[in-house]
Amino acid sequence: MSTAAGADHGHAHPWYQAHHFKNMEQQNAANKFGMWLFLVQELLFFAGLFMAYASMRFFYPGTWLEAAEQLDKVMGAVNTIVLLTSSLTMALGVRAAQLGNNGQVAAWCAATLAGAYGFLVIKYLEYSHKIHVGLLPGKWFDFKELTQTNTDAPQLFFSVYFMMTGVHGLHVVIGIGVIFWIMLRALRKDFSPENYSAVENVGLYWHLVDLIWIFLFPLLYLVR
Amino acid sequence: MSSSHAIGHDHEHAGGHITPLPVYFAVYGALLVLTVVTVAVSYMGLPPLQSITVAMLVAMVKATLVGAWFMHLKYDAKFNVFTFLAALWFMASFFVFTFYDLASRGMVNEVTGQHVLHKDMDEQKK
Amino acid sequence: MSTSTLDGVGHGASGTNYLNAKKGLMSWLFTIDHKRIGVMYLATVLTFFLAGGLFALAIRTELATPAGDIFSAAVYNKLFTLHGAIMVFLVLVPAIPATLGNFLLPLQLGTIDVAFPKLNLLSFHIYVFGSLFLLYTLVTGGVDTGWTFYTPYSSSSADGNVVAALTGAFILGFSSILTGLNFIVTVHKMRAPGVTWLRMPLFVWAIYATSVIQVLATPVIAITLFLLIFEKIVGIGIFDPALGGDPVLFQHFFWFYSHPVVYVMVLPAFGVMSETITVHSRKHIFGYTAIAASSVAIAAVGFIIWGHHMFVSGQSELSGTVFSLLTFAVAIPTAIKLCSWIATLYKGSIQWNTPMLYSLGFLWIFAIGGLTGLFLATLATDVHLHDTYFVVAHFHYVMMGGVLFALVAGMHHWWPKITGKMYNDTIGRVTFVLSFIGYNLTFFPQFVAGSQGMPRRYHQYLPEFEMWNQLSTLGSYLFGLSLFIILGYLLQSLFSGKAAPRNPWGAASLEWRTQSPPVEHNFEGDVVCTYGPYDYEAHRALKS
Ligand SMILES: [Cu+2]
Repeated sequence: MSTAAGADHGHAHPWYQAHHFKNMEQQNAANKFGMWLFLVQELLFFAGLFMAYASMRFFYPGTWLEAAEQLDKVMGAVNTIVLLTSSLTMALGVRAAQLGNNGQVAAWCAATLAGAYGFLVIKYLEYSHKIHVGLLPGKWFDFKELTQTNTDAPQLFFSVYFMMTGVHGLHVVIGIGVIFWIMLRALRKDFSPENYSAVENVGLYWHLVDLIWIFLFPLLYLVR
Repeated sequence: MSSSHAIGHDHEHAGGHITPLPVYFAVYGALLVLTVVTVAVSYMGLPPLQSITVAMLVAMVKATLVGAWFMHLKYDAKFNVFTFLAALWFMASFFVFTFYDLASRGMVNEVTGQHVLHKDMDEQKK
Repeated sequence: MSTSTLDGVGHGASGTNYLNAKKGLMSWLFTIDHKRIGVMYLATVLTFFLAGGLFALAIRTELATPAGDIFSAAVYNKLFTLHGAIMVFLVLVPAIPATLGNFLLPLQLGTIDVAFPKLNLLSFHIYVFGSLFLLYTLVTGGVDTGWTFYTPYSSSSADGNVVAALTGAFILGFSSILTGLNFIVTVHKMRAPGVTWLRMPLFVWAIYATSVIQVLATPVIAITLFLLIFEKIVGIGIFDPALGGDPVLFQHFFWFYSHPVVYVMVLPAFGVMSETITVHSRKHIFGYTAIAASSVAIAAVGFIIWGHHMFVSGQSELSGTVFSLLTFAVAIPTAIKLCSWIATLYKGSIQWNTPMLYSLGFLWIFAIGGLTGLFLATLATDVHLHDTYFVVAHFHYVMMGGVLFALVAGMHHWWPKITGKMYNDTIGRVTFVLSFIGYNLTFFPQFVAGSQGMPRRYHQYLPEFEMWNQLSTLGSYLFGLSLFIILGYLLQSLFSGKAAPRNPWGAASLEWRTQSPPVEHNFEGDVVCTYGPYDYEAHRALKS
């Protein structure tokens, strides 16, 4: 009521406050709520993949048991731990930003990036092995052991496997991009206890990537 | 009405709620333990239904831990929690109604319930 | 340029407003002003509407005679596919929320802009980028799957550039999601002092409910199209029976989005009605809370009725029954709205001007569209009517007639605010008569032909349907003509129209308190809302 809402602001804002927000409280709440809505759309995006998994498994329960044996449980478990650890480091990075410690934010971001790259390296090793032996999606499937047994449609398990882990992997790659961006901004000393919602939102995104994996891992690797 | 703005309801001072470090480490520890548990259960040779039930229960506990502490939902504005739960609700409606169709296809008329595999069709032709 | 003449002279005496505050093409293409973005959306949507409309006229011309004489069956398939895809993805989805919604939402909430102005611009650029893929499809041979992309036809044997069309629709989805996200946050966090939830205009409520659907449903079509692209390129087989997949599953995925998207189109149309009917009958809206709540109820219930598109597609009989029952449930909140509007008109002082006429036209058209929906929701009758012209007529009445009449009503209602000019109301009223006759003449005969068994999506038909089709084709020409007349006199008003006053209709909602057209930052001073958007008494008391 007291401040001018028109074109010319009578009073100074901090540089990080956009002119259409009245104060930082409003801006931070809007940013965070916006991020949660973005996560909502992410969840429904993945819902399609989970539905594809559920229906194919429902049609071919036997196939699922046999085909999942071809995945490497140990590698999956190691990757789970890598991703959980990166989630912890990200949470600690957000905490550092809440306290306004830019140096620590950058350090925790670097640790998170290491985890993200580690995850991708392990995923790459798994993928190259699958591709090498012919455990491929759909019509490319060429793995004698499974086609000769009584399993109905082993190619569908690997379609689902590659689509789910592929879309998840794509999110990891995007995560690397935004975490890197946050790290650079932290090195520029952008963040303060009043202005850290960029770190917080990237953190939320990264935790969601983790959250999805928490379900992908048992569904794909631990079927039996 | 005083609620001219939705802001200011979060009781947030600058920096928001700061979770103590030991809490983060405790949550992380619990996540690791649960990962070990779920892998161990998969080696026990449970029937598929029991196996996936246990695996999903463990995953849900892990997801709750990540959501409540790492994603700060425990201290967050309640509406953000509601938003998240609403997404799960609509996901569930997608799963339940689609699955109801898949599962009930043979219930009234056996023929409509047959899931015909292409390779079986090929064999029938021969 | 246009100082107010009726409602007191405002501070726009200097002549600056959002249209002339900055100059040059770049100041438009990279603006973050929600009003300019809304205007750009309007221009783009109308351009695509022209393209989709020309396809429609080509289809109607082919159907003027029973023989398939102008277009071959293959070309005809591409015509109706492109007509459907353009109209749904490029026109109807953004038709009202991205145009009027963008322009009005911050104004009606008394704020400077949406919560994320740059994201808003990004939505527009994503929309244009996605539309390029559909245009690319168009020039590289089109696509003949129908706008629904049903598998296994689309994944195995379809003719044309299916992948480009799918990619375009996939990208367009993100424009829709980001717009919805932006609007939800705006409604929650950006309201001016005094704008409580129950003082929000009903248009805002409608846009809010729409945005919820956009955020919740659109990601599902995105992953569906994504999987279908991979089905097409890689052959993953989830939807392809040849590889063990299930084509009916694709329809679940598709309609989980594509039924709720009907409400993305029509809820904003309801929102426009809730504004025009009360303002132009000078009477407080009847049942404010019921209308607001029914918007949210429609959005929620609309999510669990998609199976009514699949009654004869191999879905189980039991789930067909459940979906039929739930579909009837959504008629209840819709009827609450219609009854509330009619009750608003009752004993109001109705102004027979162009926006009001189009609103009344909407009520007629939507009532027919909605009631014929009940025939299709009934499991047994749908078996007879499925894939006939009855369905075509039904969804054109609901989606195209409903949205278009509301959009035209809204454009006339807010034209003075958007452009600062008054149009010629006499021509407007005459054109309404033409468009109303043309519209009903186009689609009403299709109900008859459809109920007699004329199937959709063929370029030829049995001679016994000839009369109905010729009426329909005649109607479509009249309707097309009327739309060009509307475009003509609205554009003409830009050059020679009278300057619009601040509040030409005596409305009480906030957007009429600023000058026409608004200044760059919407309001000349601070906005404090002290009475509801339809409280005409308080509004008049304040003025005197
Ligand atoms: Cu529907």
